Amino acid sequence: MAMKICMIGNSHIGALKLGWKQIRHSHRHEVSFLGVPGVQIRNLAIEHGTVVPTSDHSRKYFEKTLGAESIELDRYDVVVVVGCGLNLIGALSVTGRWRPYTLVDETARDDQTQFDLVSDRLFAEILSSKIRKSLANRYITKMARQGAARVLYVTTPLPSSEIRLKPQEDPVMDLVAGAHGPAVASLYRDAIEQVMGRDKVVFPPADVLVDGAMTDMRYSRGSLRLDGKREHPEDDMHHMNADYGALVLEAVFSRLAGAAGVR
Amino acid sequence: MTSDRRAPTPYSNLPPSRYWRSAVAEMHPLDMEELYSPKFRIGLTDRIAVAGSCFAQHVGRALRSSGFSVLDQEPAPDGLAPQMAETFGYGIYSARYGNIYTARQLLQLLHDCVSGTVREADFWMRDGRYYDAHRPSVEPKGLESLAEAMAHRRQHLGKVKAMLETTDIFIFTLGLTETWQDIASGTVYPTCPGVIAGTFDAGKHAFKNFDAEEVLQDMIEARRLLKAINPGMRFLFTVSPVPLTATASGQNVLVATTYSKSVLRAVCGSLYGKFEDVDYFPSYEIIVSPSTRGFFYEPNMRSVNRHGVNHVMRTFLKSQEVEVAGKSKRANGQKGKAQKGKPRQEETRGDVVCEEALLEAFA
Repeated sequence: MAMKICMIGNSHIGALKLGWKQIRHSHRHEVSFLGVPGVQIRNLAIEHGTVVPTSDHSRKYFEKTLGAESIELDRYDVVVVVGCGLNLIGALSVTGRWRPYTLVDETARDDQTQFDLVSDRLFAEILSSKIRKSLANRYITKMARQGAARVLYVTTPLPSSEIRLKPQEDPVMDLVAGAHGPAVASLYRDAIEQVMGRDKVVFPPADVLVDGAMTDMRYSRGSLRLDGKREHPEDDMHHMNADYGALVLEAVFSRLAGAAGVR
Repeated sequence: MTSDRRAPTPYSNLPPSRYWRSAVAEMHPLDMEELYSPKFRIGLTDRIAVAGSCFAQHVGRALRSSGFSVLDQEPAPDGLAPQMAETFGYGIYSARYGNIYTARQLLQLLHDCVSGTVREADFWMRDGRYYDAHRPSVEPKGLESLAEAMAHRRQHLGKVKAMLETTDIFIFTLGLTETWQDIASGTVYPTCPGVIAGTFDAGKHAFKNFDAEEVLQDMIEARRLLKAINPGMRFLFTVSPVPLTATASGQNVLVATTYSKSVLRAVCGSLYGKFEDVDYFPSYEIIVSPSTRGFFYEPNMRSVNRHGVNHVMRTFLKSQEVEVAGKSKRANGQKGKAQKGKPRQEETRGDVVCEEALLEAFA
């Protein structure tokens, strides 16, 4: 069933837009993209069923990426919120000081000064709290309340597996790249599903991931900025390329096909 | 032969605060004067550690909101909502030791801090999860494994020791004389085994009601240990005005409460008289004075209401020459060493975490 889909997100929407170019010939969906990079994604208002820019900068991106001044939510079968600042590394920033016992290396467990131990239950609560308060969660909640027929959330890409090849000064990146990576990614995933609802969240397909915690570096190489022309800097470990975008879009479409008729 | 002119006695010409009629009976309880003359001043930059029974939570909050430097050696993780933080024992006292009801419990904590001792017997189980028997409420759902629970306790002891090493003023509210102990080891617990976690076993656990001599010796030993950790430390002791929720003494709970509070009050008096570095603040007297006719208590006649807490703290701050609004007459509003960032949200809330109140569920 062909659907009218609107994708709204930050810079990570670039990969999806480029991916759409690769696969659009095999789908009948009508897909629109609004990309507002960086912190400017905060400058949207959702009022009376319409998404509007609240700054000159975000207004510029409405024009540039969507070609419209606003988004009327009820004109779409599905609204897909992408990224919007919620990401694994940010959510795990608390681990710089507080960690559950299971995320402390056995060799460091006797070093009482390295991390403040928290229980697994509290750690899950910390993650959930961050997700509840995130812009992404606020947007999907508000859009669902204001007339969007269906809202999905596409998670921010996990960092590139290239982080394993470069020494990481950031302890959180180090955690994700290390032996505890799969465990933290799983906790993060569980927390997102618990807060947003399993049926609302689309994670990247398992085969683009490495250890469930990183994106295979094949998908971070050659990633382009939102303008679709300039590449991200070489040390960018967070933005993905068109191939990734195409695979994530297929996952979105597959989810929608599974729930066809749900409005 | 003696003159019929009356010679002055030690009771002649005393100030009004020394006579019951003028100090209490004819004085509105909110206007009572000279209840407390501090032995030493507490500055806004003095690092204060707060511990004790439930009532001590009010003390910590009030001091923080008045600009005092109340230590928080185990701060809540970033981003955790204040209420959730409190549920996990954060921000209630200066470290996550939970309520310390008895002098023996304090002494045990200090011994363990100094020695770094963590025993397997220190942990209780419930529904397959492990609880620190010395602070069972700080992890409401317990911990996954014994190794994890022991690691948490080991770290906690290290944090408490670090806190004590930097403490200038140790404020401790004595709450109870009644406790439950492990018969074999003599270890006492803040809650009866089986209330929050663990299993009560009459063959292993016994009721203990400390007498004044025992409490005094425990407090003297606690002071000695604290001075060994930090020779410059000074002490402010108070007695909780909160009556017992329940007693296992076999006596009426009012009689048991009077015994308990009398013992604790007498011990504070002894400590005050013995040591220059020990002060006593009469929060107990302020709340339970007959002149208040119980109006500082909630309808349950047990919990102290916010008016009572506010009055206690106002009296304390006034005696310490600190304005209630948080500006010091002495320190020109200088922020304390431990005061960083914005005020904590929990300061605006009045609830206290009290395991003892759980006993009501068994009434």
